[in-house]
Amino acid sequence: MEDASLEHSAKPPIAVRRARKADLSRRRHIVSTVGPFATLAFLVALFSILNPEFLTRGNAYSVLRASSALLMLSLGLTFVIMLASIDLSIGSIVTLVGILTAMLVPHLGVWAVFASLALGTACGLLNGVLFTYVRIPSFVVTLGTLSLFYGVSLVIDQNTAVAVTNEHFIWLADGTLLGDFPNMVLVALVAWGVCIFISQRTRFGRAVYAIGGGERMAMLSGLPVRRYKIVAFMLSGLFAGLASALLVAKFQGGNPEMGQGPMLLDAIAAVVMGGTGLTGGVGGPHRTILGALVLAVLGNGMVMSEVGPYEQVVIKGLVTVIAVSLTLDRRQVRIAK
Amino acid sequence: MRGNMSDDMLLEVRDVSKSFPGVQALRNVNLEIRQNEVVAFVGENGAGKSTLLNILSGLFRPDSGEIIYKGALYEPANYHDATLTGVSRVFQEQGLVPNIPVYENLFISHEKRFTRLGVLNRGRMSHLAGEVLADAGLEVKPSDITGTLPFPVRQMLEVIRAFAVPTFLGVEHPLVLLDEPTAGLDANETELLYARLRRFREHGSAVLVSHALFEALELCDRIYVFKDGEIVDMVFPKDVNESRLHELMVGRQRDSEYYKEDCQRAPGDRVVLEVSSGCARGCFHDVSLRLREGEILGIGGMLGSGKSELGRVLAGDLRMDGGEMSVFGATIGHPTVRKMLRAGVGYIPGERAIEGLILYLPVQWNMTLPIVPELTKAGYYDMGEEKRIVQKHCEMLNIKTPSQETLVVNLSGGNQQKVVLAKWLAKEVKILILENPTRGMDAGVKADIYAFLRELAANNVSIVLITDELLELIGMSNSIAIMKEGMITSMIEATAEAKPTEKELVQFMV
Repeated sequence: MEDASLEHSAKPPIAVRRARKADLSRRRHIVSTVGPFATLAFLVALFSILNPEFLTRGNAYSVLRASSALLMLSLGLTFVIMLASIDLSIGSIVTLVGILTAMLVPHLGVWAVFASLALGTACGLLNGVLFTYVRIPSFVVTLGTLSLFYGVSLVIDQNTAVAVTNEHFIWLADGTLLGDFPNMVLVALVAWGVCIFISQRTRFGRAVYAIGGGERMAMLSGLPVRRYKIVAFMLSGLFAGLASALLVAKFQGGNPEMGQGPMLLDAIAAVVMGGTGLTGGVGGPHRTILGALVLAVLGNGMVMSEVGPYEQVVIKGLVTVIAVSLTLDRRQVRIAK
Repeated sequence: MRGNMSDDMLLEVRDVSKSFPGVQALRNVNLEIRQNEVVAFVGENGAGKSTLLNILSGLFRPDSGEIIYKGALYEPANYHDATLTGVSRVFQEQGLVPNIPVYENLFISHEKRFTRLGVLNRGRMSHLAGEVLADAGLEVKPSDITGTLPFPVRQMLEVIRAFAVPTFLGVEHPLVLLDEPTAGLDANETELLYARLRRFREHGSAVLVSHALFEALELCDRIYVFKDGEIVDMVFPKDVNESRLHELMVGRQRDSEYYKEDCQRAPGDRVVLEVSSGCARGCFHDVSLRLREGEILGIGGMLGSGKSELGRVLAGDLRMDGGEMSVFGATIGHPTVRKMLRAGVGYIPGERAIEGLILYLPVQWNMTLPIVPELTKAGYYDMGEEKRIVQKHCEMLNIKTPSQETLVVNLSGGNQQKVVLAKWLAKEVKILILENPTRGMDAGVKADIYAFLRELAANNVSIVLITDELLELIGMSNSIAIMKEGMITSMIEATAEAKPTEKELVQFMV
């Protein structure tokens, strides 16, 4: 369906050029929407050829289980990234909340999960207040709290693991409420739905897109920009707390390394691969699930295809870069920083 | 006559025209600049002065016509190219990089001349910069970081750079283009600049674009008067005075049909917005005004007169340091954007792309941004209602968009501006503050916007119209406040039957 006028007119009238530009941007939009799906489909096809065991119900569950903590973590982060900010502290929030949750389970039982949510939210609140009221760039604030939260958890438990034996709490992750569907996956999917609702159907959601797309304009339209920024950081903390609680249930305990390592960078990669640009204002949590699945399928598939552990790291890096280049509409990014 | 002139001819502009979509910026312009001569370009905003400077400094290419510089055809590919031939310019917006030292800024893009075997000789650069600064009488160290210097000093640095670069490049008979060089300078720096310009005349030529007409009269040998993209006159300072220059600049016919002047009605008695002795530090002081129901209050003034800042204060976007503001009789203490909005005041700033719209969001989202709270019922966003509201306003304002989901960036400038208007309409504001609402629009869109503003006023919406366009100011307003140097210098009635002339307004501006 090429525009016929493309061939013979040297300088088409402005209206035509504009329409064509709009058309191009639509096409570009389709590419960026389909990109993550295509990446995912390609990986699934590839791994099922390499190992027939890949496409089984059991393995599908294990992929979902592996991706669910990452999904929860990156969902909250999506709101922050949509504001063109960043939250580097989520991994450390997972660690701190995990240690504290594991310590609280003997006292609170299964209800400790609410303490995890509250603690995570409080960490996010601290980030948000430092960011908006003390006016420190979010990168710097959360770089600081990354170390702060991790340090506090080391001080609290003196670098030892805290085991959890409460069966009810462990059931949160390992139980099956629906048939043989793992609870952890169920929770992640519900969280996903909640985030989609928040971003698409609430005034906070609408405001996040507006602030990320044009903060001054959002301010002049009367939106309480600072308040919404704080809420975004609180959501980021809240979902980090949720992920942490389920990880404690899954691994039956908390330890000071549970949120460190590649978790933070995987979460950022999942958000960006899904199609939420670091420049803010585009994408959304509905897309973040694709990024999380791509990473989980890749990790699982490489293990099943017997790729060496060091090679896995290299391949993950390459896939991340390629997937992002497919996803982002780079015409919108005038200066890449 | 012509023969002996051409001996010292430096630059000749022959039949140059330039158009932009919807605007004929220059129409068959002819002029000449001789060696060791300072000429002035005067005219209103949009008269074509800056466009011509842009062509001379290599930023634009003319659509037709030619320029002869030092006897050869002059077609610079870009600004750097122009500077190499000896044409340099002081830009209206600051053209200095803030985070590097002064000496690097002075010779930016000419570093090659200080390089030996790929290594930059910073010492020599800094030393030469020191000489240049001392020569100009500016007390600045070459190593100072540019951004830390006060505005007037930075402005002077630009001027000095424009004068120094041709000398340093070894160009004979350079030409310096000065675009509003004294805007924002205080008396001391202004004197330095005048002295530097007079001295420069001994070995070069200059073009001075200025709104301060006395500068043109005092410093220049000849004055070209621009109007609507044409040169309407060339005068010698000894033959004219300021008021005669004004007349030449603004003598235009106003089309009362265009501004729907027959629809202008007398405003109601009720005062909806009142400012008494309002003050914003460094911008304006002791400003008092009253806006009545259904009134269009025009605010005019030169760049830097404080009129934009007054608009921002009225919108709550800039802090009011003193005085009182009340809306519908209720005093508003420490106005903020949110407080003013709640009181029913909407604001459309001058920079549409940055401050009025989020370009990469859909039309729909942009339009309903201020009413997001109203559209949220019990925490749930009512998208059906949103669609209806957007549909209604697209029809009302005749906004041409493929769909509500189209990204605003893909609309034409006129339709973008209408989306901004629709935004405040959907919010049902009672008072609207507008700054240059038709800048860059073509005639058709302008007419749409004017008709629409009239309709708003007829529905008892009160409007503050801040604009650089005098005809618009006169045609649309019920009354006009003219600002100069942060004060309201005059309040002029502009009833449909007795509109003031441009000349009457301008005398209070300068």
